[in-house]
Amino acid sequence: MRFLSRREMLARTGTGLGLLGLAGLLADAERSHAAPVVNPLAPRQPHFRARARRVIHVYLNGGPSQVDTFDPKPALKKYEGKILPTGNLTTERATGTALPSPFAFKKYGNSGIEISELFAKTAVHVDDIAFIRSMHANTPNHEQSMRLMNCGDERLSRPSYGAWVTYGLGAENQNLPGFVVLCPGMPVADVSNWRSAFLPGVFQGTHIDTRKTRAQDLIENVVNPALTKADQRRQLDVLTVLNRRHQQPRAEDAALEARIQSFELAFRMQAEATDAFDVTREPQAVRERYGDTLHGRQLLIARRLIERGVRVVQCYHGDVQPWDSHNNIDKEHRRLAGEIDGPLAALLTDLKQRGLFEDTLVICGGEFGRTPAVELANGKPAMGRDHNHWGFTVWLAGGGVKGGTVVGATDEFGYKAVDNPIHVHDLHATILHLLGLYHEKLTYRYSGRDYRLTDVEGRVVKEIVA
Amino acid sequence: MYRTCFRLSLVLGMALAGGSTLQAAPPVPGLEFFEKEIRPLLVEHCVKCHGGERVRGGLKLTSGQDLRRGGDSGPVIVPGKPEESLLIKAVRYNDPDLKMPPTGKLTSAQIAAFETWVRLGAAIPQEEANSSINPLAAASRSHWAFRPITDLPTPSVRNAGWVRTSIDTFVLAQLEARGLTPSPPADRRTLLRRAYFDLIGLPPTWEEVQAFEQDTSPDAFARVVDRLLASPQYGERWGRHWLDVARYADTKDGVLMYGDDRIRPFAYTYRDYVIRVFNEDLPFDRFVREQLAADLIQPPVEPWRLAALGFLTLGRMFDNNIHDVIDDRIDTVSRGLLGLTVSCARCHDHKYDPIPTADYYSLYGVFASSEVPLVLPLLDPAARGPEAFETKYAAKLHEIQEMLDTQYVLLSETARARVADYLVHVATTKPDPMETAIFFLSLAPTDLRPPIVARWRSFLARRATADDPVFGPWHDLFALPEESFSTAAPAVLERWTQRPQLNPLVREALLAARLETKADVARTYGHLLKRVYEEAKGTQGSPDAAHKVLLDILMSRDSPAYFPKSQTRRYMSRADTDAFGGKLRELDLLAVKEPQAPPRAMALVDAADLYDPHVFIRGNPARAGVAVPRQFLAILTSERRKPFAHGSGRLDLANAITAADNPLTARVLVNRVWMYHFGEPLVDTPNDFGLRTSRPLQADLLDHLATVFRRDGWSLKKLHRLILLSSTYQQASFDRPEAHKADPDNRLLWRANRQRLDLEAMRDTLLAVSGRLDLTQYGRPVDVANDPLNRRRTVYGLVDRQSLPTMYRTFDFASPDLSAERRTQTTVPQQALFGMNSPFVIRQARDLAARPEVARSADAVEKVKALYRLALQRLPDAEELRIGTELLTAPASGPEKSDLMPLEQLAQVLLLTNEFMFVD
Repeated sequence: MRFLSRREMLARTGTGLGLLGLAGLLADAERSHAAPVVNPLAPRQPHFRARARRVIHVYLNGGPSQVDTFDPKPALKKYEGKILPTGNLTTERATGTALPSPFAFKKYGNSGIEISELFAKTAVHVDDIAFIRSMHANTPNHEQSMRLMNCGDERLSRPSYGAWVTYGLGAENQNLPGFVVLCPGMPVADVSNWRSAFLPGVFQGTHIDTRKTRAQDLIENVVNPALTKADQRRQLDVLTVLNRRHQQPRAEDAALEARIQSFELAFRMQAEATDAFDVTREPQAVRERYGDTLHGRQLLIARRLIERGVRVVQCYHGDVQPWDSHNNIDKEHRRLAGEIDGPLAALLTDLKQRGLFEDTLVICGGEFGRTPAVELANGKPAMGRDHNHWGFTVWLAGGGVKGGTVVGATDEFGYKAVDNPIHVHDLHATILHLLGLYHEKLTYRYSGRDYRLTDVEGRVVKEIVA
Repeated sequence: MYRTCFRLSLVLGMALAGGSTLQAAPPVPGLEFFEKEIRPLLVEHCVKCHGGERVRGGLKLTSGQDLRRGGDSGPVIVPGKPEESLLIKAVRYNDPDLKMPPTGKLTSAQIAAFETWVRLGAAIPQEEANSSINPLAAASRSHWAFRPITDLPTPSVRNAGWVRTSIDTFVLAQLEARGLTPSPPADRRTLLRRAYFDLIGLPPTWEEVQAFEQDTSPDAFARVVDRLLASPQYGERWGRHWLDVARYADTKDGVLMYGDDRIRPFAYTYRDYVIRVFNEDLPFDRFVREQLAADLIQPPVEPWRLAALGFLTLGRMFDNNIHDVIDDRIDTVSRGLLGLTVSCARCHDHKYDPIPTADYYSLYGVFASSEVPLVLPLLDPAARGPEAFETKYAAKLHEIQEMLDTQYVLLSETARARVADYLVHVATTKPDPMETAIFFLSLAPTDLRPPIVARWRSFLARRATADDPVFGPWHDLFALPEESFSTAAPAVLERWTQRPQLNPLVREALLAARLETKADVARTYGHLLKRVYEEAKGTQGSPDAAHKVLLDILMSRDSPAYFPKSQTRRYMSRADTDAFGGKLRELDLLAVKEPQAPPRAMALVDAADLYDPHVFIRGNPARAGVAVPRQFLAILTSERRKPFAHGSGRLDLANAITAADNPLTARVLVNRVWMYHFGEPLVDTPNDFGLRTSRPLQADLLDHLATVFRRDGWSLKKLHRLILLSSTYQQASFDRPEAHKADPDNRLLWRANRQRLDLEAMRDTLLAVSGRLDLTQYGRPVDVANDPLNRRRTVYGLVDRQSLPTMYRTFDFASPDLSAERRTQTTVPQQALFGMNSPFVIRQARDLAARPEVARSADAVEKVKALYRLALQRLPDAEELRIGTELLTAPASGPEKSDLMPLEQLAQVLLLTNEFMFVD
């Protein structure tokens, strides 16, 4: 499949050349004296031995509160109703006195890591999870932080990490997209969260609106509305015969062969894609474990996808920014966690049972956290929390991740990452590292520059690497 | 935003002077080596810690001087002696206490490069004394793309009979030099199809192929070319190519905007303008001037041409961050027109090219001095929409204008009246990084405005110096330790009140005040400034010198309290900015909902207050650097640079871009044109002709094309003609193994390149052969992606930047986020799925089968023939005929029956063939 011409590719992979699998494929094409034709989604070798081969990102969009979930701060209780002695940091809106977590924390597992009652089911897996409690980002606003978390930049058009990973590694199943985004609706900043920007469009995330339940409604053009399977097969056979005749005097042009192949791929994709999204094909027991809810189905689809070789699956919690609990966090966070905790625990269990956990990287978190101080609405406490980019928690589990670890810490009240602060760029470097990619070497030359996901930043958080 | 650029402040200062040195003296050994091997290493691995913001170990590696000076441990280089050089020791990683770079050992080749360089004498280009013009410029003027375009004599060739136009001599000379021969001419049908798709993006009809095959007159092809160039469909094809460069989209990219809220109601007027002027063959230099400055051209242009300014205004909105919006304009102009990546110089001097940060801000000043008017000009000043609409539209405009006026007065006045609050705040708090990130903070009406706070900080950093007649006391008082302030302050005051240069009003105020804390000092200054300002409001006549100095602090354009009216929205409270944004949306929505709304130009005008730019240090608007004039790029200005003299300078900029001595504009354009004709450009990176782009193999041809193009009055149509009538263009595309071996990429042009139809040509061709193509021109965007019944040309489809339809992405449509240099080409099964299953293609298959030419054919044989004539403009051969009739007469392949009849199935097959999709 013609993708980029060889010389274009050589030009663009820049310093990554020789390490990047694409370049190797190009070299093969050259050796065989065939035209330089590369399937952009063909699986490629990582730079070094990968610990994880695929990613499931459970994205709690809107910004879950760290002090109510994975970063216990009992000191808040002491200042309930009082201004924190360290003062409040600038966030999007006005904030007031300390707001202790309304949720009970408890130690889990051998590691004894404390987790709030909101994630009691997920907490069973605590010894397999690494918590980064010192995440920080740049600005307390959703759009910018969503793009930062996904693309490494707040406003400029840069490829998402899913696009970068698919560019670097391809997909393991040619009948499915390499990067799939599941969301009931659209998160804020929508497509810019999974865009390919200057990378070829094939690396962009394929968005699936999981509010739809029929498998054939999920992917465009996956079902033919006018032909029986047998007639379509016969039609494609005729097409192949005609294309082969056309190809004879043009045998050197691999683009023609690639297009012929693409129809065969498409024919198989019709069956396989439909199948991948059809959770009704799962045994009853499995479906019950995930739960017959939107999030149960969504995470089950995610597992079916990565099992079939999709490289990156993001699962957004919901439309716009559901975790954005400015008011009444007790009620709101309880409801939201109630939706995701069970399916998330089921996903981890399921991955373990199927032997997928060892080489699947599971990421869970939002675009930022929330303030330990209560948000003020017209000067009065709204019993919710404002956005907080100064410090929050993201956790990772699975392939290559050192379970039962806590990395970094926020201050006494959970406001700001103070011990071993980990920036979003560092998280990205770590994700790439676990996938066997050097974040400094996965580059793409565009507009006179070698771009990379981490720009000029990024440190691999070795502390969480097993 | 400075995070997004390379942090490395590289001053390739060292390289810089290289040029002048090289010209003046014999080359220094090792200099070239430095350029090629060492400079990139320093930039990549060293200067992050040794230069710029950080200087670890006292060692700076950002200029030749610094390199020689060394760091805390003394000199790091002993020229000629790698073994004695600390730098070599460090990179070798042998010394446990000295390992550089700390992030990881360099490769052995890189270490060897350092060693070689030191052994050769560690040559470093001299640093040029005057660095206000990036001294790189001198060295870079020798770069092929920055040298003047040369009018080369046509080379002599042996096979002169092959030469049809001057292009052929350049191509043939290269082929002959390598012992290669060109390919035979393409057959008539192939040539005709190639010309049709190339020039109008549509196939010829069977009848047109017949006529051309039979026309043996020598000018038959020339007449075809002229006819196609004169056809209205030409502008739709070539205008669309330009829209890729212009990152054209119909929508805004605002967050939480959906459906109609997203549409820019008049974006399409730019698309229509482009199509129209391509058809009228507007000279390209004039086209550039209209796109940058249609509003400034004298005599005034016809009003519809103001739509040209959409080139600047139709970019992304970047969450209303003005700096990013301007950056996008600089980027589109510089890469799109000049093939230069000027945006790289936003935070630091360009890493590779001779573009200093100062030049970036010179252009920044041009666009910051321009603004989108609230009332967009009508393309036809006399046009009126339905009365009810006009009334509502005018009322909404009035409402917006009124709110803007009120808010500007209120917010400016508040900014001045609260000077004491600002000064106290600045005096008692540390800078907050959030101060400069205002555009997302929710402000309460009573909040101090972060950008004003930031400006007061930098104002005081500048003005509060030991000798300042106004802020001198401030400087000295703030230097006192906090604990002993109240006891030490009287002595400072005593000293200052003796000094004659002290502003008498300041003296008076300080003497009258009780100064217990530093905040009291700030408050005293604030109250004084406010009082002087309030008093001046009620007085006539000009103030005395002492008053004027203080008055200027609040009233001048340089006052921290000042902001231009166009930026009022940044200073509004959350509630007001939401309300204001809502009104703007409502205004657009009125136009979106009224199909008869008279079209307006997405124009730009010069701001009432021109903006005098200064460098933003590291791209941070809160950190003002040196002032720069609005002027053109140093590297492209041969004589002494003069600041732009007219208004914002947009017209001056356009004139500089199209000036006779600008070596880039014409080269960049002919390279693009060549790319669309041949499938491959002559210069691989059409948007980057900078130092990293080496001289192309066909550089002579490029210069020849650029020369002829300008000589022919920048006429695109003449350029197309020159190219299409060449033997080079008319070659067959078939492979020849011996030539393939010598030149697998066909860089020497020994054959034509087979090209695949792009999204637009594919969809338009499907409609054309099904007989349903609607050739209506111009107008509001239509839904070509989701409406299978839409029959308009694809160029009229809605381009939704924020959510590009799957069909666009699947078929490699250029991202409208940034100026696109070329489309990538992918082959993925989703494309095949579109062909096999999409309601649109199935519709075309049905319609093709239903065309009268097919329907009235008597039998299967005739029907198959008719389908081939319509879809592929040829007759089937015997085998194809057999296969086709077999399908038509075959029994159903299973018990279930398909909705598509066999004839329709065959029609669809032909639409899916490679022959349909590729142009030989």
